[in-house]
Amino acid sequence: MNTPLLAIIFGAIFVNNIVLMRFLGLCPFFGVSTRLSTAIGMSSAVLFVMTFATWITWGVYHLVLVPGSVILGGILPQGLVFLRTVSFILVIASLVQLVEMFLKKFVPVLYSALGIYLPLITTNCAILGVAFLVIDNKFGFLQGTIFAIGTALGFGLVMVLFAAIRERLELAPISKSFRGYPIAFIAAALVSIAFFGFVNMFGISP
Amino acid sequence: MGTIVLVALASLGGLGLILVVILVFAHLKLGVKPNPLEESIRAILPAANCGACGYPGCEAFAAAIAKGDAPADACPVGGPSLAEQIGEIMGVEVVGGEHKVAFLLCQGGNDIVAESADYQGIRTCRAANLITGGTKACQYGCLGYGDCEEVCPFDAVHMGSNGLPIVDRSKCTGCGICVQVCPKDVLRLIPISKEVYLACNSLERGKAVRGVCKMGCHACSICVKMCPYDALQMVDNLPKMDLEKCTDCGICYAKCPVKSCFVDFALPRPKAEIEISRCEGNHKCFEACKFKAIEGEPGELHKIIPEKCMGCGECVKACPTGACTQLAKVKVPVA
Repeated sequence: MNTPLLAIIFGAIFVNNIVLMRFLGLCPFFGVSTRLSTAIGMSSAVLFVMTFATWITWGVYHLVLVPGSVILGGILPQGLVFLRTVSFILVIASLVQLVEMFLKKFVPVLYSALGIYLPLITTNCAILGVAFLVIDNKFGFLQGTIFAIGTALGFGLVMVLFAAIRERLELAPISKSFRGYPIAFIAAALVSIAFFGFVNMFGISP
Repeated sequence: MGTIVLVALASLGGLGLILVVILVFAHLKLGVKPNPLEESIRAILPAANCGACGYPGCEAFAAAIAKGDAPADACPVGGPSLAEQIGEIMGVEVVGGEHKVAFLLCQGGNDIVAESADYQGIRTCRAANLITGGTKACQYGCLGYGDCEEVCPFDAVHMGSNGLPIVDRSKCTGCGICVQVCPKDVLRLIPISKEVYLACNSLERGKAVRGVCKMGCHACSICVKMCPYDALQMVDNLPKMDLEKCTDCGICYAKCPVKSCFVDFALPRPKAEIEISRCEGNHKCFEACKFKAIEGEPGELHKIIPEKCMGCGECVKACPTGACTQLAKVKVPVA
């Protein structure tokens, strides 16, 4: 596929926004969007890990799992595509551990800034989702990287947007049964509907 | 078919093995050894992450103690027993303080104190306080929008029907978050064993208080004069209690003409009784009683005058033979 890079990044941020259009990564979206500072922290951690994870999983897929791959092509021509999910989870979990250790040792400032969000990302389905989407869309390495960065930026955009909404919701006179998550889900649905307005913009379809 | 299973197992196993080797190697090369002190302190902390110590969560607090930045007794939730354990780990002596609970210095519920205006804004005390200090007629009293109930991480504060928070003393850990959040400073931490305490926060003079609240302190100083232990002193139109001197006898509660600015958790106070068979008349109880509620000469049988007895229990403590007895005090949770 030869989608232009600009279309990929625009599509990843707006048209196919990971949270509002694909409904992935909802856990951190609702969990840490209560305050602007935590939302930014989580988004930067996601940007960091998502890009790395896409690189590694792209490599694992194209070197090992794909039919006729470099490593297994000789032994098993039909490939091991069915091992995609389990191997990607393995890779992402290890990668997060590795990144955490690396940051703790060499960039302790960034480590303490990302704090708890780094290990939390291990279980973030958005990371796994992007790794799959890169494969499904048959992106090359550069396209995949741009897609991952765009998706993470889209995630960050929605987190920051929604943090502002959540901060307003804190003070709004809402009936008790709707306080907290119920009203947050309703607000998220409304924002999601707004994002449907981007569909087919510049010819990019979901 | 056999090949595919074998290859799948081998490649996934190989992938896992490679990752394990990388992680182990990375751990050896990159691993930052955690401070063992920090680890062992974190293990005994309550893990409520309430932030009452002033640090963001128990982990940060443990790190601060291990570094020597925080005192060992700064965790109000764990109380003295935890402080002692931390002190043991850190090798420092900790002087144990008593467990404290939150107490409301106001009895002016919405059935007692009128509203001076109709407030339509955000229903929190902090927001209401920004607008001319809230709409309660008494500007020192509880606003009653329940910020304390909302912030309590232990479900220990609940708003009563009169618009005043009720502290569940069995659940309160004394973390002090409600005290910090209250814009009127009308909550205070008091030792849990404290039975009598003033429940008014108004610095106004008598007439101004009477105009808005029938439970407020008029600064009449009767309690100060009645206190046999000299534990009360009039400061800024409120009787200030010296916790060292106060014995919780309850005379200030009983004699308060407002009936009463004080709260007495020991109510109902049972009267003292003397077991005739055991009384040897050694006169200790007579000396201990500050209310002249015991009569009798040394060596004779002593008698209690029930009308004068406050039920403070001092005679029971003083009696060497155990003749003076008092029914166990029943603790009633009061707002």
